[in-house]
Amino acid sequence: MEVKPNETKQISAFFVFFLMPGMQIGVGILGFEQVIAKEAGHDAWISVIISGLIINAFIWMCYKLLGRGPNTFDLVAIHQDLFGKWIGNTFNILFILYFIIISITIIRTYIEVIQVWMFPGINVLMLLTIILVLVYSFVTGGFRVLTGFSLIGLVIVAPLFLLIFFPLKHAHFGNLGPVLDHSFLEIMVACKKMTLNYVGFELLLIYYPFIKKRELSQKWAQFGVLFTMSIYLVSMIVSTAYYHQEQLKGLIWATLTFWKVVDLPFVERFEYVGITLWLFKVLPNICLGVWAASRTMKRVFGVKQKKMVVFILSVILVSGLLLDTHNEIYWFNTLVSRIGFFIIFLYIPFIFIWQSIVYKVRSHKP
Amino acid sequence: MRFFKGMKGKDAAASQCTSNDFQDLFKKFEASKDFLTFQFPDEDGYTISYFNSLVNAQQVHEQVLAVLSTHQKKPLQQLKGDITMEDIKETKDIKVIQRLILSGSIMIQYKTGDETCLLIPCALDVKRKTSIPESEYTVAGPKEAFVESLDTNLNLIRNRLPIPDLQAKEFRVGSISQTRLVVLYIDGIVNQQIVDTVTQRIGDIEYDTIVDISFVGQMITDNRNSMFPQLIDTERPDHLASVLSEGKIGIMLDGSPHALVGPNTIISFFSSFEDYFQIWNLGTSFRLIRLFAVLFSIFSSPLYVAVITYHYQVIPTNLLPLLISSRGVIPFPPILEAIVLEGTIELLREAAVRLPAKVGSTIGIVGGIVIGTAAVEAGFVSNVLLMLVALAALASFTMPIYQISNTIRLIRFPFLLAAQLYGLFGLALCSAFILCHLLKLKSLGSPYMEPLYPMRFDDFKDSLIRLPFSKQIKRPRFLRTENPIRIKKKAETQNTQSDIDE
Amino acid sequence: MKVKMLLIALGCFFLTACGVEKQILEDILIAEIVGYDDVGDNKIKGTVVVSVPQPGKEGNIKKEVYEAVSHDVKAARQQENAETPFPVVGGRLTVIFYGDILARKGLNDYVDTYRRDPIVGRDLYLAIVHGKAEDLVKMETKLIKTPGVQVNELIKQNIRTNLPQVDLHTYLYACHGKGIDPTLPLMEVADGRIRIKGIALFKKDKYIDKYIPYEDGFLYKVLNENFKLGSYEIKWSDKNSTDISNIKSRVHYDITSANQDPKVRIDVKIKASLLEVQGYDLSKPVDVNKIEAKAERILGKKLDEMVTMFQENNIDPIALGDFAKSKTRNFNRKHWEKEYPHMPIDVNLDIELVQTGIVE
Repeated sequence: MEVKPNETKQISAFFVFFLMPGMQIGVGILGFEQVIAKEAGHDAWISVIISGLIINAFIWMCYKLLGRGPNTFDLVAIHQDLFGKWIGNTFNILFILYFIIISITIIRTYIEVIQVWMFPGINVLMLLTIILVLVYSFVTGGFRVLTGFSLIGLVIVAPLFLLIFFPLKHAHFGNLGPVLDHSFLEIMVACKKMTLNYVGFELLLIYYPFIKKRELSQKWAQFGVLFTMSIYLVSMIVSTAYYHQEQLKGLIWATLTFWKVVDLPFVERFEYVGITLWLFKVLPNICLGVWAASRTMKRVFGVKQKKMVVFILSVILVSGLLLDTHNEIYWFNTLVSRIGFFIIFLYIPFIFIWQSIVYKVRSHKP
Repeated sequence: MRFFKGMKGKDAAASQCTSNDFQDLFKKFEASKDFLTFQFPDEDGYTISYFNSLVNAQQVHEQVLAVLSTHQKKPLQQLKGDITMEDIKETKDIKVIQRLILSGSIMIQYKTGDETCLLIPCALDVKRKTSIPESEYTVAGPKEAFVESLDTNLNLIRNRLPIPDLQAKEFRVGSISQTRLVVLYIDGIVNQQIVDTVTQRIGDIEYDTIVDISFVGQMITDNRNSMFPQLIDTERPDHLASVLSEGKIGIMLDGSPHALVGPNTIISFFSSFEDYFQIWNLGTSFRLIRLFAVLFSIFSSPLYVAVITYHYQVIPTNLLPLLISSRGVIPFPPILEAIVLEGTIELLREAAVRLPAKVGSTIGIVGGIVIGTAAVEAGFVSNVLLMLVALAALASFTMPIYQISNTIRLIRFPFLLAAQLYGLFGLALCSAFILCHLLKLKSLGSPYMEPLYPMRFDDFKDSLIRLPFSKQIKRPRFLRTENPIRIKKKAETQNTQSDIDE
Repeated sequence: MKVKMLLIALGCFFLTACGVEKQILEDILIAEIVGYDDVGDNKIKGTVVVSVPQPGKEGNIKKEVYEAVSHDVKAARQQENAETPFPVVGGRLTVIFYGDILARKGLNDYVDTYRRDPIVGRDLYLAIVHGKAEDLVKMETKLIKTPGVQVNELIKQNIRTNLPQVDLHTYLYACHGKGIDPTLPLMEVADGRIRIKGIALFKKDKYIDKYIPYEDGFLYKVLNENFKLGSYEIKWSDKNSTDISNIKSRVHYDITSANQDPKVRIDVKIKASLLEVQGYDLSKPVDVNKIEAKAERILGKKLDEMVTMFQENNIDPIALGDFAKSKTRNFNRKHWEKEYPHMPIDVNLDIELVQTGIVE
């Protein structure tokens, strides 16, 4: 039951700030506007804020979960502590599958973006292989390298967030009014859909033991989520102002289409540069997903993590090839969304309450 | 502790060529023509033997032979006092005898065949004078460079750092060459862990002849297959002295006019020592220009290939006709064009380095002007690419450290191939591979990408930018120094409160 | 180790085997201007201009025109490839022209492909041609730059003074949005030059065969947006006229009770300078006030007429419906649309002359 990794493999609490957006902002941001605008129209930005705050609450729950018991510093330990070895491990395996399919959707959606926007005739097998080799070399570097990659990835794509300035020149901020013109229900449905764009924070349950001075890291985790939220919020507001509602509802990749209007003297059609640079935002996503899955496998089965990484990557390769058309990818994305919704909205509160009950019972009979 | 074990191994290796018997050793020596043995001052006098080629003849005549001829024959013990030279040894240890004779000592025996002998160091020092630094030339600042003699080099450093804490640990490396190697550091500043790492790695060196510090560099770096150098190779004593006081370690080898410095971050390879000779804002600007030059040098020709091959959309409107007409007659695809041109530049560079300086400049003219214009006029390469490649070559010359400029030269080629494969996206993939490598890399156990990752805002003061000396209160954090404070007194802040005209 | 070598060998094999289709710059023809015309029988004729720079010398540009007749845009592009040495690519289109007959039938089908295709930028201009688009596309202009750049700059220059924003994004915004109708520039060939004739008015994607003349483009722009350039010639009588040059104009819409009995007030404020006056003595300040009052009257009438014309044709190019929607809770669009043709729209104009040039 060794949980504590070597100190040289740990990261300082501050980096949790980068890990949060590192896992949350991925391919979703390139086109999330359409999905929530369909539900809440021009009030969609309110949903972005509400769901961001809900995630803040969930992070608080996660920290409660992790800090309460003796030695329960990660999800595997919590499961085994609460449900015993067998049932606990069943849950663990479900989580492993969850992390793997998250990685699959991210990588496949990104490749689809490349197929549609840059190279329609690209050989998916080859591209997938190259990216997975890249993922392998990152993941074998360990968690510290992945944290660094999340940070540097965020630094590299940071200029892209500033490009929001260009569509602002043609923005109609009147489109945002009248505020709160949609019913509470519509906004909450949009919230539910929006929450899926925040998926990724639950990785905290896996990498928690890798944080130095864990208790102090909650602050950074919360700030990280707020940062993610502000990025989503700005994109949502700008796309509401820049597109007409009816236009927005038909756009699959609204954020990507923004980059088309970027007008720089040395480069036209910025979306090609943007998609290229976005690799540095998507790769940390995939790497962290694969790392979390393999780490959990190592903890559950006690096998070598390197071998597990190879196994997971081959699973991703095969399933990435099986998902071929846009419809299939869309279907898979929806499926993952449902599972993600289940994990976030139902499972985390459930295990939180369950743990409270179990600990209360335990403390009554010493 | 490992280090001592290592040294024992060294001795064992050295003893391969040490005969246990004094006579055997003597026979071996006498097999060489330049080994002299004679009786002095007469047939019953001392037996004197030395390597003619190793000793300073003048010193032998004036300080040894002159004394011996004027005094009567005495036992060696008393003779020692007569000769006015330092560090005279009386010994019968065969290993010591061998080593000292081979480093230029005179051996004096009371009579031929005696095992006890007097060893007088009389080494001939063939060395050049300190000269102007060549690979790290700066316009401002000191103009002294290291030379091949370790003692001179140590002298240059000790003159700059006159403190007892400056310690020089000596080793011998190479089973045949037995070269002297010195690890320099300032005790009380340096992190002892780094010293231990270095001494352990030096102890692990297994090689017969080590003639240059670059051998050592390759043998003790963290990742021996990495294209990126992890130890800086400097020839400037002022550079070494100042990094020693930051808490880094210097390694010097006898016979090598360079010193190794570590641990380093990747950014220290882009910072010239001249940055410190200028006011901080100028220094910062030049550092940023150099960083831009690196990026330009690596990415310009791959970007050309990527854009021309795949992404005609991103070319600015006014540039488009220009590019099309320059590309129009070229018979090769862009990738081939770029590789041919880059290859030519590499050829020119190699040729210019191998030739004497005077001929080298001719090569530059021939290559740059004659071949360049001819290639464009013949329609082999486009003039736009020619310009880009020449600029990229120029940009790579701005690197202050020679090793990293080699890395940048070569790293372009994988990028070119990636650009041919997937255009801009290929470039991103290739950069991601390199980023992965850099993130994993360590220099003597310290992270290579610091202060970018692990992010340490303190260390930005002397990395991408250089802040004024008054801001350099602490030593760099990645060195984990034992004494992190550099400036003890707080800088006086009298100017902050003064208002206009007060 | 052997496994690694095998993997590397396999990797190299892959790399050489499967690349991506290349679009090397000199092996493609970059389309710059496209024109579409109705040729009857449900067919359209596409005309495309590609500029072919002559190799060797910079700036030496030849223009080539290709044509094709087909049912839809994409097929027309296919057909053009039948006669070109290299594939024609559309990534750098700058202007698309539509003949007015085609525009009257509705443009949606012919814009859709450009909306859908990721290769097309969003900064390209759309324009209607009075007559045949083909004539305009084929016209030999005295080329300094490539044809695409030239027409593009012509439109861009006028957007600052007399034309509203007319790029693809704006068109799509107005065409798909509710309560707003697009406008496009109307071009014509006059005296061997390409000229802007005015602003073509649309009902959704259909050209209604009415346009605002080029001179009045300034007035439309004043109604539509805040801007800082442009000038307008006010005619008092047949002989005398005044030229005012816009320094800053502000427009504000005010809509009351949009869901029951809608009333619209449009406030326009123009700060202008006076550069040419005939028949007035400028040295007296009283006269400046008189000019202001008179200009307000004349321009106000023109603006009123323009708005009334919009209502009569039941089009809404200045997006009043969209504005009403963003200011009204539970906006009843059906009601608005029913009321629009006969709702009272007031235009209040306020002109302030701030400069009279460098003489008094």
